[in-house]
This record gives sequence, structure tokens and C-alpha cells, in this order.
Amino acid sequence: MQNFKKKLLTTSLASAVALSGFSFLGTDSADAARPGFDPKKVGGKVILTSFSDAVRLIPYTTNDSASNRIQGMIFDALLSTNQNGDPIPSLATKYTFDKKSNTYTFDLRKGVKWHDGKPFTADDVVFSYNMFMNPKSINSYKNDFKAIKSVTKVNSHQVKIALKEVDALIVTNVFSAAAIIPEHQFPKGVDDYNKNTKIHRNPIGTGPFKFKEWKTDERVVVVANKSYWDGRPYMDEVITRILPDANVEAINLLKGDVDWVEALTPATIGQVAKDKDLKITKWDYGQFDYVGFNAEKAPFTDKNVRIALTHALDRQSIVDKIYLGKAYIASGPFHPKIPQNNTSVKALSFDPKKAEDMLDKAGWKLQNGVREKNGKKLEFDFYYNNGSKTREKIGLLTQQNWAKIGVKVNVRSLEWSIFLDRLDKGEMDTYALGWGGYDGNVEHSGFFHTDAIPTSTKSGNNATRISDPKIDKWLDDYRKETDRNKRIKLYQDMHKYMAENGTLIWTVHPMKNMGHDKDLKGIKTTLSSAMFNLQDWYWGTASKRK
Amino acid sequence: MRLLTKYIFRRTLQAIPLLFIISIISFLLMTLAPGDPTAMYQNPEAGNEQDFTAIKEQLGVDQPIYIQYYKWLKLLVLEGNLGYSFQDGQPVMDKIVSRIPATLTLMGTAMFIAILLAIPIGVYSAVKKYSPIDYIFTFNSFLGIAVPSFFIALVVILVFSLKLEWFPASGLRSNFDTFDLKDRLHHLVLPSLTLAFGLVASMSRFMRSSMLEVIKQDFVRTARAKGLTERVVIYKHALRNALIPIITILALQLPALFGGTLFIEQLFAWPGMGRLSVSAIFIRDYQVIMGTTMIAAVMVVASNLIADILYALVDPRIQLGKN
Repeated sequence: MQNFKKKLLTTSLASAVALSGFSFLGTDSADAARPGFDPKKVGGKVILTSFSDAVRLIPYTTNDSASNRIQGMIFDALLSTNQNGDPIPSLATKYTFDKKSNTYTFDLRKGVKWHDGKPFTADDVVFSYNMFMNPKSINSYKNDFKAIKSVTKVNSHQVKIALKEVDALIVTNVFSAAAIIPEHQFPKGVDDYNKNTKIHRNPIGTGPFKFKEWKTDERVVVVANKSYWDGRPYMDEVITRILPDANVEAINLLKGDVDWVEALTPATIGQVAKDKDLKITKWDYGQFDYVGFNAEKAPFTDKNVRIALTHALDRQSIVDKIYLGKAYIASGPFHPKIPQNNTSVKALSFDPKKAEDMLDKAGWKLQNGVREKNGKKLEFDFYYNNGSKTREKIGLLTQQNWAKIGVKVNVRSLEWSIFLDRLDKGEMDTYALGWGGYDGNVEHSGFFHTDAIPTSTKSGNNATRISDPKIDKWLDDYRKETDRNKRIKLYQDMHKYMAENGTLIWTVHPMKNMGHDKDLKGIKTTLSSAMFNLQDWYWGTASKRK
Repeated sequence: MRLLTKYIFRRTLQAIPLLFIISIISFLLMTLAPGDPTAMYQNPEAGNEQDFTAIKEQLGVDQPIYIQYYKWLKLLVLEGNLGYSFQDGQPVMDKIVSRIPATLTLMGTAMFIAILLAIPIGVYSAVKKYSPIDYIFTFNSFLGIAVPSFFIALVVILVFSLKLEWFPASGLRSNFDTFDLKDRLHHLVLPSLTLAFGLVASMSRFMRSSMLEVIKQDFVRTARAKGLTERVVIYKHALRNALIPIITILALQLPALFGGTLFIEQLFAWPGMGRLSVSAIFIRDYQVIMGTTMIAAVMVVASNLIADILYALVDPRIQLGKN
């Protein structure tokens, strides 16, 4: 479960598995309890929070985190991923890959039933993929499926997925992510998939939790699927309350009205830490933060300026003062806990003197406190999204730090959707932003590739407009390289280059701080999810399990 | 009375062109503002040219603004349909209707509390003008007018919910299984008080000045000269006259109260229209924005009309519909 929700963090996943006929050894029967299942832990309910309400509860009809999280509880994909991000069996017990025909064959689990009691078969798999790939469907992740040529049923419990081109990342990116939906619930096919709000609001899945109720803007409730093929979840009920404000979220946690908050803001951590009944668990989240710019515009076209600005920024202060120690200084786009991170790359030092020398050499001379070159002042705006205290502080620190080397910065805030609009158009001089949700299956084309530069007719996440043939080549080769070690080496080389080249002004990899009832046990996280193993959460105290 | 019916009919007719103009202006402002409703459908990672245009076509935002407006208006006039949400495809009318009870409960309670508090406060302040208590009320009023409601909301939650634990911090209810009046009221206290706070502040000021004006008038002096007790003078003669302008102000406060719910509903996680509007604005769900804006516009127009009618009913000197 859970894996396909990674996507909504606007990043995609990649495979860690070699493509040469790898296969699983899995049990073939339903109703089997998962290894380590302890019947004593069963019972009780847990109350989670979400910032916004869900939109639709059918997979790939949405890309917001609130919807995807709930969908993750209700639906299963063909495969799943373990804590390391490696693929493991789910609705498929086994798969094989035929290199010659570039085709995957999946053996489906027998005896699995939809939450409404109908049997799960190969027809559902074919139907689901056809929906996701249908040109008319509202799926906004269609690009992930573009390598697929066809999905065909072999028999009631076997399907073949043939590819058009080599895609080294498809196992984790698609097969472990694309949740299977029940064909019988969509009599009108794509019309129902796109528009039938009744289906959107009453999902039927095969997952560990069954949908129970959705009170708009109040809460969504799911209950344990007692006949789940991998053994029932410990919790009887999982309630997601919609609380649209971070302070209010923290207050509800302190009051004991909710049990778990995914990420506390730095401002509320102190109060939660003081509460004896609560616990803060910091967890590593696959994210990098940066100061962005438009790489097509001067002065950011000049590598020396970019490096000098990095040297002049006191990133240790960002870690210590803004993130209260809960972050790592970044040297590139790879989180320190993933293999693609090149450990030999060191983050640039905080060295204003060196920064000044570099700017001097690059022709930016100090005049009346502000540097100038060819009559143009080194002065620009710095933007952050309105309401983000953390980014506001980063903006102010940047302003102070850069003023010391003769760079004038005006800090401004913008409402989020206007921020995004300007970001896409490349209109902001500099800005603070982050990119996250990736793990060891990271794939960064969408962020750094020339093809991903947004234009007026085409969306894309390379808003910094980085267009570097060297980087493009690494990104392309990585997608095609089927040898895992070679593939990782490619990104490590790219990491080194990006650090030395100052591709972006890298700031930090922030950690997240989940706050929860001390008695809530069994929580494991991955770099891309805080509720990776929701089915294994349980209450330590017997009275809460009633 | 026939005169009044005619008047209401005429005013309602006059409201139609007004609402029409409001809808044009809102539509223009909304579509000209930066941001794009297709953004919420797009996974920028996966987006390619074709996906992008397909979604635009589906939402109808690929067409010129006047055509988009025409289609919206046509649907509304011919079918009474406010369109379908860009976000989740649900009819806008359904989305609004399902949230109206929560918002009306909140607004109604706040209004009720405000009337209950503001009138006595205003009367007392006027009668004991420049007394210490008048100063305290005056200070409180300015505080209520000056301090933004979202701040008051957070303070109220911290004190009454977190520290004293008297009331729940957020939500409409805790009991989802049955309709539990006690539970609902318990949840209603903090948000309605917060919403009422600003209203009490301004209304008590109006009440005070209205009362002061009336007290100075001849008929009050006459009443006193007749030897009536101060109690009868204030409550029977002065108060009734002072209330007349307050009725108008009360009706005109409705739109402001509705504006207040935008913040209050967000902070108290109250599932009403205010939250619907705010989230629709953030994601540029044009259909929902237009729907909530038009409902708000109708409310403003209607409350103006109601104010005029009430005015005529309580003050026999005013006759509506006569030129």
C-alpha cells in the first residue's frame, strides 16, 4: 500500500531493480497474515490530520496529497515497495521480464476480493491501465505510462505488459504505483472514471482499509479490511480529520483530539515537546531546498556569481536557527541517505571573503556599497510564498548575508498560486523553494532536463530553466541504464558536477518532525512517506485497543 | 400593504441588472487575476502539450473570456445551474447547499449573541456616558474593531480550549453517528463568540450614539417632565426610538458577517461556505468562486432590501413605494 502516493509530491520514482528476469517468491493465497503479525495488537482507532480535504478517492484522478494518502489506504498496486524502496509482491505474487520482447508477465494473487465481495481478476488490471492511459482520462501522470505499448490478459490471473522502449524505472515508477481499480464499478468506462462523483466519493478497492464515510471538510473514515490478503491492519479504524491550519493542528494534538500529525512547523515543536503524553519523531524526508533563479538571465548565467552567492550564504545558520538543527546542509539535489548522493562531494564553505574575491574577478566592482558591472547594479528581488515562516526567514538571512558582499536584495512575498505562475514564467529574480518526495528510486529529469522547461503551452518543473547538455545526458542515460550500480554512479557524477558548477544555490535537506501520541507504536517511515506502514501501527496500551 | 408588495416586487426587479453587473465584474476580475485553474489538474512532471490542452478543453477555459462567461450565464439563466466544480466535477449548487446549514448556524448564532450583548451595552454606555464602565466598553469596542478576527480566534482557542479545556478546538461535531444537540452546541460556542466579537464592538457603538441622540430629544424631556420613572423613560420611550436605525445597521452587517466566516471557518475547521470560497480561490476553481460570489451578492442585495422593509415597518413615518 501507500506507494503510489509518493507521486503527489510532484516528483517521480525510479526503479532500484535490475531488469534481467528478476522475480519474486511469494505466497499465492489470500487470507495469509503477514510475517510478524501479532493478534494481540489488534484494535482501536487512530485519528490523523490533513491540511486539506480530499478531492476524489479514485487513483490517478487527482494529484493532491490529501486524496492520494486516502487512496493509498484503500487500493493496492500490482507491486509494492519495502522500506528501502525495493519492489515487493502485492496484487501480483510474481513477475518475470523477457528482455527480447521487452515484456513483463505478472502472476496475480488468487482469492483476492474487492471490498464489495466481487473477485479480483486480470480484467481489472487491464481495465485500470486502460483508464490511466486513455487519452480522454483526467489522469495527469500519463507520461509515466508512455513506455507501455499494451496491457493484455493471458488468463484470469495473468497479465502481460509490453513496452515500446527501455524504461529502467518502470517497475517502481508504475507497477508499484499504479493502483488497480475494479472494472465492475465503472460501467461507462472512462466517463465514469472522469466524471462519476458517486464513484469518486465511494471507492471500492482491495487494500488494507475499506472506505466508510467522507464528511466534506470534516473527516474521512476508513475501517480495517478484515480479509486483507496480507493480514488485517491492527487498527480497526483510521480517521483523517481535516484541519486547515498548522497551529490548530498542533492544538488538537496537544488536546489529545488527534493522535498523529505528519509534520509540525518549527514554531509548534517546542510546545509539543513539552507535553508528556506526546512524542516528536524526526524523520528523513527526501527533499532538497534551494535558492532558485532564472538560469537564462544575467547575472545567474555566470557560474562565478552563483558560486560566490553560495559561499556568502551562511547555511549553517539556516540549519541551526531556522530548522533548529533538524536539517542537513545540501551540496546538490540528493538526500544524504540515498546511494545517489556522492559522499566525496563537500558542501561549499561559508566564506564571504572568497565570495568577494570571486565577484571582483568576475568584474562586479564595489561602488557605494553595491557591486556594479557595465553600469548594472548587482541588485535583485527575493521571493517566498506568503505564509511560509521558514522561507521568510531564509529570505531575510539571504538579504543580510549578501548585503555584506555588496549584493542588494529586496525580500518580497507572493500568494502561492501567483508565486507558481511567476515561477513558471521565470519572472522571479531569486526565490526560496524545495523539491521533495523522492527516495532511493529518485529520478530527477522532471526537474533538471531541458525538456522540462515550462513554456506557455507546456508545463514542466524545470522552472530554473537549467539547460546543460552534460546534465541532460546524465539524466537520459540514467533512465536507460539497466545496471543499478552503473546507474547510481551516473547520478553521483552528476552530483559532483552540479556542486562544482553551482547549478543551483543549494541550501538544506530539511527533516520533518511528526508529532504523535507516545503510545502510538510501530510507525516506520521512508524518505517519501511518513505512513509507509499504516497497517502495522498499533496502540501500546490495551485500553486503547478496545 | 399592497404598496409594500409592489415595492418589494420593484426592488427585486431592480436587483436583476445589479446582479448581472456584479457577475460580469466578478468574472472579469477572477479571470484576469494571475493563476490558472488547470494547474490543479496538472502534474507538471508528466505534463505534455496534449494533456495540457485536453484538460483546458474539458474545463472550457481554452475559450475566450466572453464565451466562458456566456456559457456560465446561459446555464444559470436557463437551468438555474451554477455549473460544475473544476476541481471535483460536483455541481456547484450541491457544494454550496451542503455547506449552507453550517454557515447559517454559525452566522445566526453570532448575530443572536451580538444583538443580545450589543443593545444593553450600547444603552448602558449612553445612559452612563463617560462613566468608568462606559470607558471600559468603549475600549473593548475599539479592540474588537481593531484586532483581526483570526488573531482573536487563536487566542480564544488557546485560552478556552487548550488551557481551560472548556470547549473543543475545532470542528462541527464529535458525534458523527447521531444528531447530538449538546455536542453541536458545545462546538458552536467558540466560533460563534469569536465571530460575534467584532459585531458586538461595532453594533454597541452604533447603539450608544443612536441612544445618545434620542435622549437629547424633546419627547424624552417631556416624558421626564411628566414625572415618569427613569426606567420607563429609557426603556419605553427612548430605546424604542433608538432601535430604529439599529435595525438597518443589523441587516447591513450580514455581508460583513459572511466575510468574517472566511477566517473563522478556516481556523475552527468549520465545514461551511467560507472554507469553500477560500479553497476555491486558492486553486482558481472559477465555477465555485462565481457560485459563492453570486450567493454573497444576492445576500447583500437581499439584506439591503430587508433593511428598508424593516425600517418602514417599525417607523410609521416612512412609507415605501410613494414618490
